[in-house]
Amino acid sequence: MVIDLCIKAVEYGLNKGCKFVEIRYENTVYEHIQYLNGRLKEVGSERYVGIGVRVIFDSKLGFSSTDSLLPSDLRKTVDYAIKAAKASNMEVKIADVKPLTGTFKTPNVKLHPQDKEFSEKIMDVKDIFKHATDVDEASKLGYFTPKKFTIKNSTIRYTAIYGDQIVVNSEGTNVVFNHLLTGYAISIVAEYNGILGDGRLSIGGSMDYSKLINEMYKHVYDATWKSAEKAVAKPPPPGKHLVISYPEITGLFAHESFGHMSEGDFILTGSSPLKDKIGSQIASDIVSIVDDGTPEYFPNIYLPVDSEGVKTKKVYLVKDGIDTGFLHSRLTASELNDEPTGNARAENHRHIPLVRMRNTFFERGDWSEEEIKSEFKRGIVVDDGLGGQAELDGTFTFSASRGYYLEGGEYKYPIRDVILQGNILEMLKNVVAAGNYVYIDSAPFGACGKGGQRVYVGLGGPILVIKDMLVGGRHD
Amino acid sequence: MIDEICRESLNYAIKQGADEAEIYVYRGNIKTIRIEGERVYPSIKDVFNVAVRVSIGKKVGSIFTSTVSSDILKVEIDKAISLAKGREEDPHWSGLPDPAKPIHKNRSFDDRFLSIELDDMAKENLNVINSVKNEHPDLNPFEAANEVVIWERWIFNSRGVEAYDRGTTEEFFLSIKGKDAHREISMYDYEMSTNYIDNKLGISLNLANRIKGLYNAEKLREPLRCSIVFHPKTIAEILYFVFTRAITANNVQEGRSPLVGKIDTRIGGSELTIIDNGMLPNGLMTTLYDAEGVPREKTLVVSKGTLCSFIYDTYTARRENRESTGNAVRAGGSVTVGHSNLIIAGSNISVSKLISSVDKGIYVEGFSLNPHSSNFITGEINAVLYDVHLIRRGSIEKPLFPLNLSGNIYDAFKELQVAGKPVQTPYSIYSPYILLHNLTVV
Repeated sequence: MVIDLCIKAVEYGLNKGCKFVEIRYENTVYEHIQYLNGRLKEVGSERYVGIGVRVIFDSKLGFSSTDSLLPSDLRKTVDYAIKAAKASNMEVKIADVKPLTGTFKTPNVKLHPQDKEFSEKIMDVKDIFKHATDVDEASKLGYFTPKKFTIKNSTIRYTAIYGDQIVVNSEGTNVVFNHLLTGYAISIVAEYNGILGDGRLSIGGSMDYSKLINEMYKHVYDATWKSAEKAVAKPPPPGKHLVISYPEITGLFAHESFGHMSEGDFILTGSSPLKDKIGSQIASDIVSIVDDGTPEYFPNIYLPVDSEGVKTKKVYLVKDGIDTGFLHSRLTASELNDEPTGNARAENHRHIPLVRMRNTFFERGDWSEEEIKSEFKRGIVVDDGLGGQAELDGTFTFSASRGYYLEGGEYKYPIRDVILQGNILEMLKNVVAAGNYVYIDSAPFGACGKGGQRVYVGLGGPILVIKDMLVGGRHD
Repeated sequence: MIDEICRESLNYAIKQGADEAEIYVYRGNIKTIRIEGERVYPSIKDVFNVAVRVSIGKKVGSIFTSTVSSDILKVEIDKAISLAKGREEDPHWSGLPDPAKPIHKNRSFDDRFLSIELDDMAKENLNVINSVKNEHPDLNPFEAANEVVIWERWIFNSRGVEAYDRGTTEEFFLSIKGKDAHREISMYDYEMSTNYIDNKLGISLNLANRIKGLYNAEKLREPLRCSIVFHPKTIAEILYFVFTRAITANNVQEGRSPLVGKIDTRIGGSELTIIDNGMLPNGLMTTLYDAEGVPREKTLVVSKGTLCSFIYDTYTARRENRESTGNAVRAGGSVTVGHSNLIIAGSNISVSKLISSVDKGIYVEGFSLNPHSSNFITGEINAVLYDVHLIRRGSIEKPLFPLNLSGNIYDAFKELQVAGKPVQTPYSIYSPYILLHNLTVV
């Protein structure tokens, strides 16, 4: 039994003089199917199996990992972790937590992806392709979609990530987490009058396979009409504008620019400007930002326990405009005299847990989409994030694939390749309205990178209306 | 030992019904030092990446696993065969590569890595950080990472390929924060080498000086369409996201490249020459073989502005009845196409001469923010430029706040000018300083 192996490794570490030993076993499968231009391009499966070892030896922290499950290799890995601890220069403490035991499973999963044959999933992918490339149906959607466009390229992707993570430590924690994350993505390149446009859609989260398929079909034409609309879109006028961000872009603000600044390790190094801001008004009072392992909204990434075996908590980073909380591992919580929040996450057993976000989102307001359009008559509407980066001083740049120029309460023309630039601490003060629904983008097609590790995160929120934001575009 | 595991796995796959089989095993010993503020986090890892590709007729299945345990490998090989059986035929599949001898001997292996100990790495990195603090007490070098890897790789297939490679790499990363009267400035530098990086302090002090050179920067008052002189690292990063995937045969064949149908046509000015050289001595991607056991080669991609060739793995090459260019790379269990050492030819003129030719424009030296949002399918560039300076009347006049860059790389290539010799960058792109026109910054 793997758990017995882990327990014996803990005992071995304690016998070697470690004050604390944590063994993290991982057995995770990544399934993927790629259907490219009407042809099955890839069908594959990846399995990461191994064990990560973290020890505190002589008050210093060391980490090592192995891809072998042989007891002799595991003992060698504990020895390596002790060697790593000896190379460290700092005495560390980890915050006390009540040892956690038990098995956690993603809820409401009747049809697990592993219980469906690959051949059946390939059939689903083919059917999604058939619908997604139906130009006649897609051209009926959107605001400016041309009628006779052609599809130059289409990609359908399916991914499922599932397996077991076990954390056993010398304090009595013994946790098994059966995790699950699954999703579909459609990417289309359309051509109209010799101009290319690309559109994409991704749906996913910790959900039952049947539910995933149902959600996919609700939006199956979206990537296609968006790609065609983009082919007739213009660059946005550069300069300062009122910006209306749809949930994907809102999520970038929540995660990339604000969330990272709230991570305990960045607070600890003094690199975050939020270090002394707890209790301060840093945003307009309609802004609340949350990081949660088990949010109430669907879809989400279900993370009831973190990579230190700590049960996850809902954390208000900002509540009604006031800076209210940071995200912690046991290490950062100890250093900052705070409580662990269940935010220690590792990409897999090969990596040490770092302070990472889970599902990070703005809370909803009370504006409907139509009310926003009619009240804020002119602005740049942005949707479909292409990613972004943020500096720890709050500076950010985000890309939106597409959107609209709003004038007189109506969409005047579609826009493409929009860059948003600013500083989150200024931007949060300029939020003037929040929509009345929250969507968390939880699909596993893009992960958050930090310290050489990539973990899947959910990010989202409602539609936000932000005044005076710098928009970049082509200056023709 | 690994040789035997490879041969046994191939035999097992054939016995289980595969027509052809290939196994790829990567073994790495990785020593890492991460420094956050005052805290040092050392780690040691033993890593295996194992990929198996099997074919039955024209049906192909692949798996990846992180262990060479024979029990798990057999289960995963069974799965690869099952995946192959469950899918439709790929009309373009023409089998695995045939055996061939390497055409060079330039292994990138630095023997010094064999004796590097973790505590020595910790001391060296702390010394670097303390030296920066001593010289610049007003700066905060708040994050650093240093990693050394000794790796080996085996690629065996049922056609007789038995390719073995080994190498070393070192990465060094440092972030420093400074503050002038108006704002905080964070910037990082990143180096990667197949040899021991012995100038970590020089890299760090240079970064510190560059941050101070940005004090009292001004905002650009209005959007500017202008010429930009790029430092090799800056342009390499942008080209990695907007150009390198456009020259891979898989993207060309699938219509995901703006270079489709443009062989033997001009895609840039006469100073644009690009070579993919998998044999470059000490090159970051120099190996005897590519990731499917085909000998590395040298491919002329662009010559004096004219597109000459794309880069190929065996699958994409046979689809066009030609030879692989030795550019297979692994992405999990899958094989795809990627550049090796992509070299942009330089010139004898100096960067100062290049700058002096610009009446009003920009000089940029830092890594960008968000360059991955650039679109290689269309050639549209999106990035925020850091370490930016205004050029006026041929001289660098003053530092500027970060600028948002947009434009199309192929428009910009038309009047490209280069200065100096190609410099190695972490993206395995070797670039000189490059001057591009018709770009917008805001």
